[in-house]
Amino acid sequence: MAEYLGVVIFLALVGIVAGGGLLVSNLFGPRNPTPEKLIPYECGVDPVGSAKERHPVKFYLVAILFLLFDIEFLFLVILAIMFASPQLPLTRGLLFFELLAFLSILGAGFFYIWRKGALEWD
Amino acid sequence: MVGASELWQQMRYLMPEGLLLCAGLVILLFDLVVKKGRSLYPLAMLATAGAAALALLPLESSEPLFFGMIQSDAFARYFKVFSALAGFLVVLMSMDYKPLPARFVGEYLGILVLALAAIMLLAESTNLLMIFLSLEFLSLSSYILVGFLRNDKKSKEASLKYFLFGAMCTAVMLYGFALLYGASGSLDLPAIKAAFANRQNTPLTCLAMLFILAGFGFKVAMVPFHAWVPDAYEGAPTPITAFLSVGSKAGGFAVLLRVFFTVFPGLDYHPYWLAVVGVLAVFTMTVGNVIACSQDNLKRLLGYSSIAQAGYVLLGFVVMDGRFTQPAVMIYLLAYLFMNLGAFVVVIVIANTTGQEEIDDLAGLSERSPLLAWSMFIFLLSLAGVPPLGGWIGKYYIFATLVKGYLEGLSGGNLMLWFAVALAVNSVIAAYYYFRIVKAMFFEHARERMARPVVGGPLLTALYVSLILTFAVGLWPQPFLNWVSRMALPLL
Amino acid sequence: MGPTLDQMLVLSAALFGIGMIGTIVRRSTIAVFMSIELMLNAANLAILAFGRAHGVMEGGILVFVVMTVAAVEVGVGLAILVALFYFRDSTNLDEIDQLKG
Repeated sequence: MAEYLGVVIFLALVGIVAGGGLLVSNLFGPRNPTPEKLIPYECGVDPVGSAKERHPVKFYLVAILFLLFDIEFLFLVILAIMFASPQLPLTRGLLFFELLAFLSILGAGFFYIWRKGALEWD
Repeated sequence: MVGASELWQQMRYLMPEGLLLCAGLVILLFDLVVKKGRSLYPLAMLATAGAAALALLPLESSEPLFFGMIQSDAFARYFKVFSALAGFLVVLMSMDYKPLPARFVGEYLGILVLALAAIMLLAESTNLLMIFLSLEFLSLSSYILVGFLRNDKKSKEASLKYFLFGAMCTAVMLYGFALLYGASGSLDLPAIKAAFANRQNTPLTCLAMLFILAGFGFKVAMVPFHAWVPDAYEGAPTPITAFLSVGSKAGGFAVLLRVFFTVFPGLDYHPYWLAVVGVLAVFTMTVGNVIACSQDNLKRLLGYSSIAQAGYVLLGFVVMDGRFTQPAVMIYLLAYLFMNLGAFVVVIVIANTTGQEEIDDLAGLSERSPLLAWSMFIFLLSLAGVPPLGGWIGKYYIFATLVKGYLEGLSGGNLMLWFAVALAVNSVIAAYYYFRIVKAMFFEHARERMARPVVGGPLLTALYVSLILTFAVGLWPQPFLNWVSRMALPLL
Repeated sequence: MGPTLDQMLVLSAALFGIGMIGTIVRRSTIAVFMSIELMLNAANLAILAFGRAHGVMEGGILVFVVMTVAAVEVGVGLAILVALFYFRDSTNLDEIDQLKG
């Protein structure tokens, strides 16, 4: 455990320096708030509304669909690695066929959501 | 190197689920072009009936298929027949289920058919990866089906609760898989068994099995993983409640049997395990039965009753002897399939007539529709385990299994006698709440404005099939028993 | 020289525990989803650690499958949540109380 002592001391120092700075400026710093100073900082532009507004539910739909199609491409990576592997348990032609089958089912899913109108914003 | 021809050869064994998977996708795609969803019902019926027929073909292979992912043995074939049959009846029940919006029938049927294929895959998986995948396939389709009623807050809420509970149990189960993989160094069930056969087990394996039990226990509604059942059953569309109570439960029992019979016998903790499962089974049936007594909603009551039934079936696992356990569990599930689906057919008719599913809605049913009242009476007697009906045969075999286990001096024999007593006591409690329904039907008078229930063709067919087979399993059990014994997993 | 098996397992168990507590304690549905993801990924980490210790690769495939299934699970879960949100302007689990008994 002795080798971790340095880390502990370092962490303690970080805490003291950072916390001390905040504490000292809080205690002794001058304080004269104006309305401009109190608004949230947004790169110098005046804020247009509350940041806690609700997002339209459509964003969720797009996010869900993106997530699904995004993650499916993991399997293409596996297939690509398999294709180059020397101890492949099945023939390369079959592997390619499986890739096509996988992609066509994925394509059918895409066609389905497209025709269902899930990709339209309005 | 496996080439196309070998793989094509192996595909023969996957014909039922292949048919269902294709049918599911075709139904979903047809749904885009067909305006009236109802025209897809015949397609779904054809697919499930075809799958049942294909599953009845004696195509079995004792060799592992698809790189050891799948074993399409007789045991798997039994559950394929079971699932396709349950699916066929559920499709029949859905046809006349009024709250189901016509616009979404295509999606509904597509997902239902895919869920049936998931049960089949679950029953034949012999690799942890495949088990996880098919279990999730089944769960995810079930979550969607439970929340299928548009503009019904209860349905959505049931779906969310089911989802949250299910996702948590699955995560725990996956952690169990990880620990099992760590303890054995393989994901393949036979390889795991071999790894345990010749060495001491560690607490790690014990923990792994406990975690895995969470996932499977969730599927079969075992206490303490039963909390989703009443809510999901009440909120779901009634045909889906029926599907969950038989199909999804049977899938859970199938995978439980396979894992129990392949991995468990290798464990040092084997006798303790059986005690744990037995105690959980007693808790399951007691909790289900006691809470069912205070229910007024029919679907909720049948939900608690199905928890109790899961407890009875689980007791069969306590005697880990291939000669007794498997036939007892399998015949129970078969009888349960018909009697429970039958009871739900009656619930659907009642809900179509009065718009709700309370016990009060059954008042005076014997005057309004004697056929329905007497059918419900038969199904309830069968659920309570009264001879000479199907449920009695199932319960008798579970009971006999426990007594035989005691007489043959298997490990934990005295405990088995106590379990048998618990089973008997619970049957008496169950009789109480089943009788409450009977009392409402026969001894109470209908409220004035209650309409006469109308039973359409599909529901009537489902009702008659359930009724005839409930009687058949009870009166001529021998052919069913012979069949079930032939379909059991090979003994170790 | 990477982390040892023990270290990875401790991390995995810690993540699993945090996720488990999160699913039980948190009242916001989204936070519960996140906790469940944490549990799944803890299992993934354990699988990979065990796979490296045993020198076998098949666990890696399971991890890929779990990641996909987790994504699908979130997809279905969010869809259900959005559907429920139409009725009830909140994702707080304490307020979802239509079904009881």
